Amino acid sequence: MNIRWKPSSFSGVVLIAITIACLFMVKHNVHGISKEIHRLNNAIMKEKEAIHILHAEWAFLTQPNKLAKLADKHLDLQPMAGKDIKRLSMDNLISEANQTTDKPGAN
Amino acid sequence: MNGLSRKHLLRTAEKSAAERTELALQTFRNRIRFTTVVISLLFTVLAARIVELNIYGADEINKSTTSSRSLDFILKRGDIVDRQGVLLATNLTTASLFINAKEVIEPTLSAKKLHEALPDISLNELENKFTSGKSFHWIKRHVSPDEQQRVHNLGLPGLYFTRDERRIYPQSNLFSHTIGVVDVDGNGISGLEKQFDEQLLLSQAKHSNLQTTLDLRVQSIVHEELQKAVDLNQAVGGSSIIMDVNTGEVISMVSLPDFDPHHIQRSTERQRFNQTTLGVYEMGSTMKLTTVATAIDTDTVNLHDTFDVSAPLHFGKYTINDYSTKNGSLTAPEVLMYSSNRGTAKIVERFGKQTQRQYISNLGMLSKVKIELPETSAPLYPSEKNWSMLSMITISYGYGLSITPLHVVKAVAAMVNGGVLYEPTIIKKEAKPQGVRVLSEKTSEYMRKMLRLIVEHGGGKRANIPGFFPGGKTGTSEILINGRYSKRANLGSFVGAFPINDPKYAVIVLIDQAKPNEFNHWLTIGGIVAAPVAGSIIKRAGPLLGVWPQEDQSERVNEELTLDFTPSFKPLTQIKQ
Repeated sequence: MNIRWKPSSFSGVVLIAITIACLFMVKHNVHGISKEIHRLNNAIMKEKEAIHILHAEWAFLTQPNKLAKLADKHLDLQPMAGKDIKRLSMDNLISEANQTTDKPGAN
Repeated sequence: MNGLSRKHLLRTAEKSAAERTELALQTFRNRIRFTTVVISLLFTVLAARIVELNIYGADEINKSTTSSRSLDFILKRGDIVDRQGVLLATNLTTASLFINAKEVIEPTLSAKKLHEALPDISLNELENKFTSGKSFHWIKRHVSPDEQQRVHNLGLPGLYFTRDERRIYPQSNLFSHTIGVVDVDGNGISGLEKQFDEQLLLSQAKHSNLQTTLDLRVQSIVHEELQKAVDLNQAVGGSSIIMDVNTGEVISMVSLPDFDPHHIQRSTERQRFNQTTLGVYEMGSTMKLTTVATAIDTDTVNLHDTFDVSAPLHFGKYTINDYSTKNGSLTAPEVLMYSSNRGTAKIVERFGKQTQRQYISNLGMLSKVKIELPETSAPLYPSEKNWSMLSMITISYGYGLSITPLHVVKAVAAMVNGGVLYEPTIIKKEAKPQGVRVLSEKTSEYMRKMLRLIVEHGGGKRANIPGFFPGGKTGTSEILINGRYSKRANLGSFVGAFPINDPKYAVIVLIDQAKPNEFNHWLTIGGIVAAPVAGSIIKRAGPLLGVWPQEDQSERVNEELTLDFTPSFKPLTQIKQ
């Protein structure tokens, strides 16, 4: 039996072939991307856990008494006394400026 | 004819066969066309969908991927943080070792090898587990990575690790009483861990931490200063609370001795006892503040009324004496300044026991403090029927009513903040809490001025830190030992607020059973053992809490805080500084 290939049939077969190829490629890509997502998710989880552990470690290492000991050892600092602190206000500045100008010899 | 008709018949037959073939072919072609069209249509739809997914579908794929796979790092229990967000309690993943004894080969030898790797577990215990024949036995919960490696290296059959979680307290002892602890399975058994057990078990999934009002930096300062005082005074223990007077937020809560929350099994009962909320004590002279506040609020005493304190008072077989006798009369501010029991007893007689009980109740001293901790004690006090005249007198200066330090700080906060009582809280809330007015603003103003007077000229001088303007009252009470008040065992205390001209924080310090020694000049009274601790705490923690020293403003503030009264006993200028 002699079957003739009509242009429409031919284009149909080509379309099917292209579609199958595309479908395969898409599936292959999706599979690859899924694996990548899975890997990334695992990596993110591990990073989050690591960050969580680092937070705990940071809190442990920055205990105030530990920091105080380190500061005592390495820094030459003294606690501030009340008299070391002055309030900066316009009134103070003006009165200080007036005192300066009132002094003999000042311009 | 016969030949013709046969031919005709043959042709007809051939013709009809050809027609049938043509018909069948036609049908076949039609079916092929139909099938082609249907399949083409299907593939066109598929192709269109592929094109659509490639161009527009990325979001859709992402959505389905993320929803099916949670990216959350989930732990069984939420974190507890301080008011700045610093971690106070968290879960860390660990491994726990268990055994399936059915899979063990040579149990005795295996037990011996494991004992060498984990020497803290007895050989006997391991042998029992290895020979039990059971499919599950814990060998050790929460093994360290090092121990895990050692067990791995043994390569023994029947031993397995499973993922587990352990509660970690990065600040060690610092918050052991308030944060509390969990058991080996991670269930809260004390403190906030117990109070908020359910919420903490849910919170990790909801991504919310339990935020407390506590401040790590202030807690550390209070802990350090209190520990120093307990050591130097050779005391049995000590406790301290700092509370925001305008919200009731507890900034710091320390009870000494404390314990390491990671090793609660090694702690003693005394270490686990939270003195700030569980310890009920007869507070001594700090209760005089309640008596004087009641007298001023009820207008039964004014600042010029004088009370003769030269002679002891007798009630039946009881005699009421003063620590340091003053031969003369005192005004109400002087009664507080010199901490006169006789003067306080005379003041309370002015308004009577009903009013006294009412005010003490209004100030929250007859009920449990509603703080978010499971360890709270109810006050101990006489029933209304047994609240006798003698009870009234002794309660007026701090005996006969046992309350916790938290009760005292809560009441004093109300006395200085304008007269509004706030329930202490340890959990950060967004809305400002609603207080209850218990004293008038005028009474509160008088109380602030009197508290300043006590620190400037009375027993609280050692708490006076220049620029911070603290105000407060000291107290010393004898402790009941075997039913008798011991002359040797004292509870020295200081309660106050700073800066007293515009109070922000209330502070209480108690030193339990200090021993007379050179450091305290052989005196274990509140003014010597507790007031300096409060001073040091105020000096160091004040700036961290936003209270800056105002030494340059001293003149103005002192003028604001001057109490308009004439001392009856001795002019203020003649009192030794």
